Amino acid sequence: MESNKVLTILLVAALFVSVFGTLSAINRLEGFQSLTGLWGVANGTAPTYAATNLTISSLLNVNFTDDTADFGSGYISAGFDACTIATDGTETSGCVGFTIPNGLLLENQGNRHAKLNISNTNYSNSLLGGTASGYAWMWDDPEGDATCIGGNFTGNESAWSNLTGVINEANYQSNNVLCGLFNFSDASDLINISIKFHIDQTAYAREVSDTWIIYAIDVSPS
Amino acid sequence: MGEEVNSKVVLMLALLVVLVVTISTWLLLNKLNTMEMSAQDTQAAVVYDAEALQGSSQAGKVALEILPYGGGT
Repeated sequence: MESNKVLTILLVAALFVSVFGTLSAINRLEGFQSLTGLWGVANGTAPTYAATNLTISSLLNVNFTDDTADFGSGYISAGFDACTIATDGTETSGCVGFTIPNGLLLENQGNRHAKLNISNTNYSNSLLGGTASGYAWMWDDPEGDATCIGGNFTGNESAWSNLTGVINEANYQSNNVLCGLFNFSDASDLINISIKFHIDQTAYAREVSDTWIIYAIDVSPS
Repeated sequence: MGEEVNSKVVLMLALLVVLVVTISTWLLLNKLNTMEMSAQDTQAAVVYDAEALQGSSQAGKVALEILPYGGGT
């Protein structure tokens, strides 16, 4: 009889200890609200938990940030044999009325290194007309050699090269690669494409246009 | 007779204690498991999204107009 009484007291005590221990532990862990909706714990004394989520999106984005080189309209002054104009500022005597634009400026605005294939769409011997006209191009990387690594036009870096036909995959056996790797680092991600026209006095009046196309392929390690 | 009733009460209390301890343990384990899964989800969310737009193509235009030699019309 006496032992049952003692046992009962011990059991009731165990019951209370267990219940309060459980409630206390759950409350300290994450709050009881998520289990029962009865109360929360964001009161500054108990920890709350939040998940962090970070996704770094990758983007291949190569753009002509200066996409037009418009020389406007002009003519060769009487008495001159030719006129040479170029985006590097060249304008010989005898050129009248032309404007000298900046070159085409390419920028890697994404966060992926890119392989660049370059091509243009319009060239023929009769593009400018006349007997001694010419169309030349060159490229340079104003932010340093780390900008453009590799490629098949190293001879055209900062050196004019006359076009004798369009640059495309067919004419260059797929070796029309301007850069094997075009850096995306903001400190070295600019390429300038310069254009030069030499207009012979025998060229007829005409409008001339050409489109330069850059095709970028992601070469960053995944 | 009275002693027998007391024994039954004690037995019921003992069963109740066992039940409460079992539920408590289950609740705690369940909560710990939920927290662990949440941590794993968070870790899994920190990934490098390797999807990239392949084949970005851009164009720049060059233009000029040649007027008649000497500016004549």
